[in-house]
Amino acid sequence: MSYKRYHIETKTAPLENAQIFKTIVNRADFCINCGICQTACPYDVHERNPDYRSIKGSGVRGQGSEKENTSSFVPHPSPLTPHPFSWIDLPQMASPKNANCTTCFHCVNECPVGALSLAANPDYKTHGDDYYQTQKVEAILFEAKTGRVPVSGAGYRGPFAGKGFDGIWTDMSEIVRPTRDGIHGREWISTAVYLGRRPKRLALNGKTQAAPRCRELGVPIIFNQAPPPVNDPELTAILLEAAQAVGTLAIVEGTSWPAGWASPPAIPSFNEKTWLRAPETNPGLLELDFCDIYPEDWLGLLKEAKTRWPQTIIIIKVPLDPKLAYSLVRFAEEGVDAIHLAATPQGTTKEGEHLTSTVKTIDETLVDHGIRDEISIIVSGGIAAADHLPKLILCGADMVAIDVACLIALGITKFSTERGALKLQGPLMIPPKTLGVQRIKNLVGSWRDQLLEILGAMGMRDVVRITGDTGRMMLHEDLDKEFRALFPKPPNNWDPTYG
Amino acid sequence: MDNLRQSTATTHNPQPTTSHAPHHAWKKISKWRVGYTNNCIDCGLCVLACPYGVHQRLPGTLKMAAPKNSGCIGPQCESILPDNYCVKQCPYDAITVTPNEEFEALGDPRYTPDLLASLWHMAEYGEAPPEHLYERRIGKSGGGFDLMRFNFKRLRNERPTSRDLDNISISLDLNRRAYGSKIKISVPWYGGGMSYGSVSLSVMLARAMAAKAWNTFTSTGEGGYPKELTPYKDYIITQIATGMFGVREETAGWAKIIEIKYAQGAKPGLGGHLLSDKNTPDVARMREAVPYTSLFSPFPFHSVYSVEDHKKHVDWMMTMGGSKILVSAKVSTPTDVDMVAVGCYYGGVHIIHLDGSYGGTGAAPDIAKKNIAMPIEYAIPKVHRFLNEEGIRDEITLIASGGIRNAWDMAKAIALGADGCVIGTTDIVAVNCTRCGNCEKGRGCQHGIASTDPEFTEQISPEWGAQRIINLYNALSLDLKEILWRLGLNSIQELRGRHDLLYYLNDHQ
Ligand code: SF4
Ligand code: SF4
Ligand code: SF4
Ligand code: SF4
Repeated sequence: MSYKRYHIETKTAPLENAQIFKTIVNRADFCINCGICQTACPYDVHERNPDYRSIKGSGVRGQGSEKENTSSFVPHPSPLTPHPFSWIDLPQMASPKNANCTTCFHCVNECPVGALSLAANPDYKTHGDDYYQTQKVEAILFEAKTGRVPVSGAGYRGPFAGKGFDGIWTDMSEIVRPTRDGIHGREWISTAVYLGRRPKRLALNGKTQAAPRCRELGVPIIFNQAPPPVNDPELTAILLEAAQAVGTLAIVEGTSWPAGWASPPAIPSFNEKTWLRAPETNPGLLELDFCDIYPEDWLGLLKEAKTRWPQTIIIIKVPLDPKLAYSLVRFAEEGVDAIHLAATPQGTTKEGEHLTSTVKTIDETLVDHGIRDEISIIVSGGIAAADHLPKLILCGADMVAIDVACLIALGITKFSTERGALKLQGPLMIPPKTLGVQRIKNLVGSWRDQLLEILGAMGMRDVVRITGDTGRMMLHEDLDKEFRALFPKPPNNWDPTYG
Repeated sequence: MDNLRQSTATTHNPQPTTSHAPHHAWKKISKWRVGYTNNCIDCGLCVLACPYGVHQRLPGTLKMAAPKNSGCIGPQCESILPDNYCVKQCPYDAITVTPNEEFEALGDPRYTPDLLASLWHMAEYGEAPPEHLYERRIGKSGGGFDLMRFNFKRLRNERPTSRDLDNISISLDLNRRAYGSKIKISVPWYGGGMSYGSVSLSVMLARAMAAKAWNTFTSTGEGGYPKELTPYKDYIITQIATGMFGVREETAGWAKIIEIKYAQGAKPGLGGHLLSDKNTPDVARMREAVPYTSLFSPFPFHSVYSVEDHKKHVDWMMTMGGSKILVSAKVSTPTDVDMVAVGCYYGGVHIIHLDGSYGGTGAAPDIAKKNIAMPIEYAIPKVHRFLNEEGIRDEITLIASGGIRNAWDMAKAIALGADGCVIGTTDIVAVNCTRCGNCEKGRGCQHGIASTDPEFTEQISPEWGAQRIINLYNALSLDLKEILWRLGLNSIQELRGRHDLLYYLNDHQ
C-alpha cells in the first residue's frame, strides 16, 4: 500500500471587514496631539494621519488627580490650560486602529492629559448569538484566516463549565501509554474515518465479501448544506472545491447537481418529493432526507433508490431525536450505510435536549442491537468550535457535518439561530471563490490539528478508536454530583455574601 | 540587592517587611466614576459625608477637586453606609456615581476586575483593600471555588486582633517521609514553575527574592537555571521536565527540592511550548537550543512508561541531588488521577503536586486549556480520599495548583484535602499582569512579565517586583489567618480535609 501522509495545505487568507475586537480606545477631544501615545503603543494603534494637518489650537490640559485615571472626569470648574506645544503643526492623530489593541493600557497611562480611555467595544457582542457566542465566532475567524491552532497565554479565562459540550472534559494519560507524541511530527496520528459500511475482514468461508460500500475521508468533517434560507450556488461551489482539496465530501441539494464535475466530492440530498427528479447518473453517494417529510413507505423508497443506483452509499438523514433510535436500527438492518442525525442550529433536539447526551443514547442503542459497527453516524447542527468534534466522536459520532461554522469562516457573523431557524442580518456576502476555499481549508486544517492535540493527550493514534469511547470523557454532571455530596446543605437563611 | 546576595543562610526574617510599592506608570483604574453636575455649588457636604475620602477640595480653595474615584465603593454605599451616601447627602443632587467602563474592560470570569484590582492593591500596600471596595473572595466562573463558601463560626462584624492572628500557624512541612531533609515553609504555598523564556529574568529574580523573604520556594520551570538565581538557591525548586531544557546535574544538585513535571494542568498531555519569537539568544543559550526556533518539549517523558520507570526516575533524581533532596511529582488531573497519585507515592516521591486544568501558562492551545483533564476542585478530594484509603496519606504532602487565585481558594483547596498550594498567576498579577492573554503574541508581554524583550522587561526591576510579591504574600497570609480565625481553627493543618466546613451553592445562587 502506498503511504502518503495526509496533509491540509493552510495559508493565511485574510478577509477584509472580518475583524472582531473586544475593546476600543477612545481619545477625548482635549487631546493635545503630543504623540506620546504613538511611541507608547507597541502595536501601532496610534498613528498620525498625514492628510490631516489642521491643528487643534485650543489644546487644553485635562484635569486629574495624580496617579489616577480620571479620563472621563468633566472638570468642574475646568482650569483650561493651553498646551505649551499647541503651535507645532503636526498632523493630527488618526482614529485609533482598535483591532490591533491588546489592552495593555500603556497609552492610557502615558497620555499626559488623560485623554485616552479603553472601553468595551459595543460592536463586539453583535456577532453571532447566544449560542454562537462572539468568542466562538472570533475563534473560527482566526482559524479560517490562519489555519493555525488558537494559542494564548495566561491560562483558561472562561466560565467553569456549562451545558452540553461545555460540560465535558476529555481524558489524558499521564505516564503509562507509550503511544503518543505524534503532534509534532514524530509519530503519525490518523484522523481518517470511513463513511458507509466499513470494510470487513475475510468472511469465515475464506471468500471476501462484496465490495464494501464505503469511502475513506481524511478528516471526520464533512460539509453540510447551510440551513435555509441560505441556498447559494457560490457557497456550494466553495464547499465542493474545499471538500476536494481536503479529501472530504459536501452534502448538496440533489436537484442542483454540480455542473462541471466529473465525479464531484458531493453527497446529493433528496427528500421523497425531489427524489422523483433525481438524475440518471449514479453519483455513488446519496442522502435521503427524512427531516421535513418522513415518508410513510420509507422501505419502498429505499429499495427504489437501491435499484436505481446500485452500490450507492445510502445515508438517511433524520432529525436528532432519541425516540428514533429504534427506527435507526431498522434502517441499518435494511442496508442503509450511514445515518445523518440533524440537530437544530443550536445543537439540540426539538425538545431542547443536548446533542452530546442524545448522540450517546442513540449510539448505545445501536451498540445494544449489535449494529453500530455496520454503519456510520454523521452528526450536524450546532457544531461551533474545534472541541465539539472530539467530544461528539467520544459520544458516538463517526464524523460531523458543519454548516454555520462554514458561514462564519466565510465572514458571515451577523445572524441569529434562535428557535431552530437561521436568520441572517443583512445580505449574504460570499467572498471570492479562491479566498473562500482557502478559508474553509484553513478551518478544517485547524480543527484537525486541534483534534490531534486531544488525541495526543489521550495517547491515541487513531481517531476511529475513540468513537463512542465514553470512558475517555469526564462529565461535569457526574463529577459535580460526586463533589456536591461532600458538603453539608446550607441552612435556608444562609447568607452567601459572607464566607 | 547586595545584602540579599550575601546571606544565603537558612535563618530568615520571619516577618518580612512590607512597604509601599506603587507602579511607576500604572494609573489606578477605579471601579466607579464619581462626577459632579453643574448643579454643584461647592458646598462641601460630600467631603464630610464620604468616609473614604473620595471628595476633596482643591488645596487652598473652596472649589471641589477631581474626586478620588478609586476609593469609592459604589452605589452599594447606600445600603452599607446609608448616612454617608454622598449621592443622597448632596442637597443639589449634583453627584453621580456610575460604573467605570474601563474597569469592566479588565479581567475575565476567573480573574474578575475586582479580583485583579484587589491583588494589585495587596501588592502595592501589603494589606487587603478596604472592605466593600471589591468582591475579592471569589470570581464569576460560576463553578468550583466560586460556588464554595465557608461556614464561619464567628460573626461577620467580629474582628480579629493582631494577637489573634499571630497565634494562628500557617506553616507547612513539606516532607512526611522517613528520608530526605525536613523542610518547613512559613506559608502553606510556594511558587509554581515559570521558566526563563516564558517569563523575564527580573520576574524570576523577584519571585526568588520574595520566596527567600517569606521562607518558601519558587520553581525554575523547565527553562534552566540562570546563574543570577544562585544566591537564592535554598529557596528554589529545580524543575525537570520532558524537554530536559537546560537541565544539568550541577544545578539539580543545588536544589533542596526537585520537581519532576510529568504534565502541566493548563495543557495536560501536551509538552511545553515556547514560540520562536520568545526564544531569544539568551534563552536559547540557557536551554542549549537554537535561537528563534519554536521549542517544543515532548510529552511524556520518553523514558517513563510505567510506575517502575517512574521509580527509576525518582532514584536518578535522588542520586543527583543527594540523600537530602526532596522530590515532587507534578501531575495533571485525568480520570484516574487517584491511581496516578498512588503510583507517584510508590515511586518514592515526597510531594505530589496536582495541577488542575484551569491553571496559568505562558502559551497553550486554547482547546487544551479548557477541555482536557478536570479542574483541581474535583481532583483534590478524589486523591485525598484514595490516599487515605490506601493508608498512605500521612506519608505524602499533597499540593494543589491550577487556578488558585487568593487566600480563599487556598483555604478551600486545603479544606478539600490538600496540604498546601502552588501559586503562579497570582505572583505575576502582583507585578502588574493584567491577564490580557497576549503573553505569546509577537514580542511577548508588554508589561515585561512574560517576555524576554529587553525594551519591555526593563519596566520591572527585580527589587520592585520582589517587594510587590512580598507585600502580596503578607496580605495573603493575613487573609488566610483570618479565615482560620473565623472558622475557629488554630492552624492550617486543622483545616485539611474539612469539607464539612464548606457549603457548595447551586450555580443560580
Ligand atoms: S492599550 Fe496598549 S495596545 Fe492598546 S492602544 Fe494603548 S498602548 Fe496600544
Ligand atoms: S498621548 Fe494623549 S494627548 Fe498625546 S496625542 Fe495621545 S491622546 Fe493626545
Ligand atoms: S458613594 Fe459612598 S464611597 Fe462613593 S463617593 Fe459617595 S460616599 Fe464615598
Ligand atoms: S501578556 Fe498579559 S497576561 Fe501575559 S503576563 Fe503580560 S500582562 Fe499578563
